[in-house]
Amino acid sequence: MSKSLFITLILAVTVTVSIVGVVLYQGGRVDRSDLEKLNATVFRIPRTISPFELMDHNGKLFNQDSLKGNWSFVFFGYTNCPDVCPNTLSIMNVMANKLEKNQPDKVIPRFAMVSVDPSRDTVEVLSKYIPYFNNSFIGLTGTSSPQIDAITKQFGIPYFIKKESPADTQYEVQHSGAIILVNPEGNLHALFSAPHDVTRLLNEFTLIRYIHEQG
Amino acid sequence: MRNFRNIITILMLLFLPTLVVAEVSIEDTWIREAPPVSRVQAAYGIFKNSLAHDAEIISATSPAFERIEFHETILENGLSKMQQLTSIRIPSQGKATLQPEGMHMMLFNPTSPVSAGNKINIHFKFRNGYTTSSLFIVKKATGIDHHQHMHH
Repeated sequence: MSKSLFITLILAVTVTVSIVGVVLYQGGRVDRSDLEKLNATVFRIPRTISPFELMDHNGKLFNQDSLKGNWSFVFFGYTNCPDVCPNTLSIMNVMANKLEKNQPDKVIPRFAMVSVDPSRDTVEVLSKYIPYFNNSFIGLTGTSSPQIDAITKQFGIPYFIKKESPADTQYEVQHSGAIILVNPEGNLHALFSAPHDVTRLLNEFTLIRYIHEQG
Repeated sequence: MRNFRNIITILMLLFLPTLVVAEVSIEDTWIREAPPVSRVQAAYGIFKNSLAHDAEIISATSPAFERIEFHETILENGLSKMQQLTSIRIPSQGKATLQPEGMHMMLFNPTSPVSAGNKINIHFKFRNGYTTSSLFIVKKATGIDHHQHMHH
């Protein structure tokens, strides 16, 4: 690691810790109105998630109940995506590492990518793709697009499979770059729109979680 | 004397191609290592043009990939889309930055496995016929954010 990079990292961590510290110190003064100032869209009343059924990258059933018990960050993408998806998964990996390091007393949230290209992204494909970014990340897919739509529609995630012809195997899938935040009760809590910034995501998540825990 | 000037002019014209190509520099070149199963990946870099006129790259090829296209990731109506570009224009005295979630080169179907640490030669053809090539280092970019790509 270069010296300048090291100093930048130290500065970034210090600034993050200070911001979170100030926010927490002012405890009494932080309230729901602060959420409106965030880049994230935080739902006034977290939304119930209707039933859906997907498979994780180990072939196990993953449904609305699987989202309970911990905060979850959910991104939508596909494995043949050269730019946005690997970049977002890398950002999520940095988030996971920073949360583990800076907030050791908290449980690391769940990080998942739902494939919007189930015909190419089988369980087997995802089982090779997802651990490349982080061993604890979860890849989710289905056997058909309607199965995927059961989650994308209620999460407000648009996508479009841009297949030029039936024989086209290297088609693009246009999709929302948003990251969805689900709370430990398994309800849709907030949406982070793209483009993403690691520090902003971490600061906003910390504040959102703090306010939620205060009730 | 007049002959001598003509010779100088001819010599300058002869060497012009090399001089012109040398004025477009390519820096911070890297390729994102493709995760297993992915047959596509992106290449990034900064193209600088110190010429008095715009430069335009019309094609990129590499022995390591079947095909290379120029793309730009754009955000439109909440969708991230890849728009194919016919060329990359580098403004006079300016630069074109190819970076994650912006303009990039999309590399299709590696001819043999490409992994972190490999150096890949990419060959560029300009509108005016000149050509140049540059080495791109393959990186596993899963634990770094944008800013860190800028200084390495």
